[in-house]
Amino acid sequence: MSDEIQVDPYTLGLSADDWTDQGSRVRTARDRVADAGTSGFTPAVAGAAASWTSAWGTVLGDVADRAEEIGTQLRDAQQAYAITDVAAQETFESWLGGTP
Amino acid sequence: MTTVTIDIPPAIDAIPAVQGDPAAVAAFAQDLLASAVNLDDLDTFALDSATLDGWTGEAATAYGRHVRAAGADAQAMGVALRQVARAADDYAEALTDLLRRRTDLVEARSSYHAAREDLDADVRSAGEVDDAAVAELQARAASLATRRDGVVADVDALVRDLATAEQAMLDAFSSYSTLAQARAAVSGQIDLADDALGRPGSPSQGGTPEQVAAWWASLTEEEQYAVLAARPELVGNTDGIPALARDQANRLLLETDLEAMELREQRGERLFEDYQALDNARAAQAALDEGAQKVDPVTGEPLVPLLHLYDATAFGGDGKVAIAFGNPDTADHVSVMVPGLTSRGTEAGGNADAAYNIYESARLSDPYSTASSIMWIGYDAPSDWDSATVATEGRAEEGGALLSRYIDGLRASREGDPAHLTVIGHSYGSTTTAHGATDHGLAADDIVLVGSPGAGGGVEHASELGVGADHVWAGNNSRDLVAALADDGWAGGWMLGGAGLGNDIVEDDFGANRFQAESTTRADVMRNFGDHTKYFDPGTESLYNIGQIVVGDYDQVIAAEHSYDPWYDGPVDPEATRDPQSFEDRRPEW
Repeated sequence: MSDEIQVDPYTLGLSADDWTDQGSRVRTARDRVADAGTSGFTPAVAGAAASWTSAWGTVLGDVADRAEEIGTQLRDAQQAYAITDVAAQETFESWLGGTP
Repeated sequence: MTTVTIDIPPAIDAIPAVQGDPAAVAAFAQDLLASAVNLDDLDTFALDSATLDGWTGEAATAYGRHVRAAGADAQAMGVALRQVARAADDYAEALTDLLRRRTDLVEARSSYHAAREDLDADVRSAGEVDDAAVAELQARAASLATRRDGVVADVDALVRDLATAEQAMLDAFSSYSTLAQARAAVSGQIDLADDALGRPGSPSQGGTPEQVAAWWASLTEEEQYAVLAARPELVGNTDGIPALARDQANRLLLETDLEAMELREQRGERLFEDYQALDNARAAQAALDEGAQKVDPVTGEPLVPLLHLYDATAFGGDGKVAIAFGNPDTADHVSVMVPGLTSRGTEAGGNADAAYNIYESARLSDPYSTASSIMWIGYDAPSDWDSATVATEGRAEEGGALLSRYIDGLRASREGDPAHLTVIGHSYGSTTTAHGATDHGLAADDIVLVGSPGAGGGVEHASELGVGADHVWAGNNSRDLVAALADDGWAGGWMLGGAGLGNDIVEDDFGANRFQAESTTRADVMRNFGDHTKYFDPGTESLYNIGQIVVGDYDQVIAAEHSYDPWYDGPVDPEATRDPQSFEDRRPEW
């Protein structure tokens, strides 16, 4: 366990939003690749091009999921820190019998 | 009687088909490159956010580890997309060449068959002929055989080159078919873009336009491609980079900007900076789309406008944008139009129209030479909430420095001989242009000032602009309200709270070449704002004369009488009582 724990929940929330935004941007990249027209290639190449765009559409979709998941996990962490903080506060208040 | 045999070479088989559409493949490559930009952004973002301010502990460490791995994967995927995009660009180029060669071969085959039929007919109808005629027929047959050999060899080369191009494309697909392959490709490799940007003279190293141009020229094609995909904002907006590369980078940026901002708009998650930036991006796209509908007035060929500068969030949201008609790196005559008050990203369309009008006028003025016309919104012109800054020269001083650097970049990225370069400043842009000239040695050959409230306080004479007074051209019309703000002797805008920005540029004392710039649609009333915005309108005296200046046909410029300021009366403008002429329906001046 780390000797030092420090957290700014607001920063975590901001970063979570940024990760969600990055995920959205990669998802547009995914759509662009998956939908890229392959009709311009000669028949000898068109099949490989279609397979490649399909495969990379999947790969990029996974990356988009991963980025959005990081955002979700950061929000969860932000919430978990807040819950832990409140729980610690309640423990203290219970111990002190509610007196300030 | 002796029988002579003439060997007529056989027919040529049909030329093998070359299918495929280079434009569609180029669009495919562009899609991949735009996606590589997204992945490169993710890579940069992941590395920058692997540690968060104010967050330490085991969870933070685990987060950082995970995020760095995600960034590394994004980098690998960016490289893969870039490599396949580059292969597709090469393939598209090869396909263009192959299709052209096939067309030539079809014509060669057709021509061969026609000649062969002629020979066959002549042989059949020969009858009894002398030795000379036989020799002539034999020579034609031999010549035909040689032609046939050439066509057949070219067909073989066509088939071989098509197969080579196809195999190169297939190799690219198979080399980067999985994420694991992409990871392996970048493992232990230097990042081409980072390596290139780390060299002296690069934009990252603060290179001057001349150094940037030399740095870019020193890169391999692969390195240029890597830098373009990884840092399009640098390639698109750094002075000294060639126009075609800037255009490609800026279009990538524009495409990815629009997609990201429109996605956030759809989700109701617009960022604060999106509000103005999205309008700027949409205006740039609309201006490019509209520009692509225009044609060269001499050849009738469609024009492809170049996005020479683009940053939707610059200047606190006002944005930067420059659009060129004609390639400034190769054109004989280059003009840069610097607009003034209200110029911001959303005004791209109207200013691009003005740039096209200047292009058209220049081409008609000299159809033998090539031209490039740019509209440049590359400085923070007074607009919207900060319009009041039009009354002071601060924005013009800052803009003059940026303009001077931009012009240096145009000079540095040139191929071959220097262009004849004209800077045209309109309204507050004329003051900006003048500051570029007086403060920073603007590297222009000619300077045109129209609708000008002044060339800057303290500038007494056109010769102070550094290009020679005979190359300073003044086009204020007699009805222009803004032009009236300039100082005429003791009278001027300074009397209105300092609204003027220097001396009247069309006054005799200033010493510039005044050209006719009245409009047939000018208002009856003196001094109005409507006549301030007609200098680039088709059919006007102003646009006609600007075209002649841009191509250096100074003899064709129609001079106007200077205004003057007698001691016994207010300023007098002889142009106010002259009947303006129209230049509608111009034809190329061959």
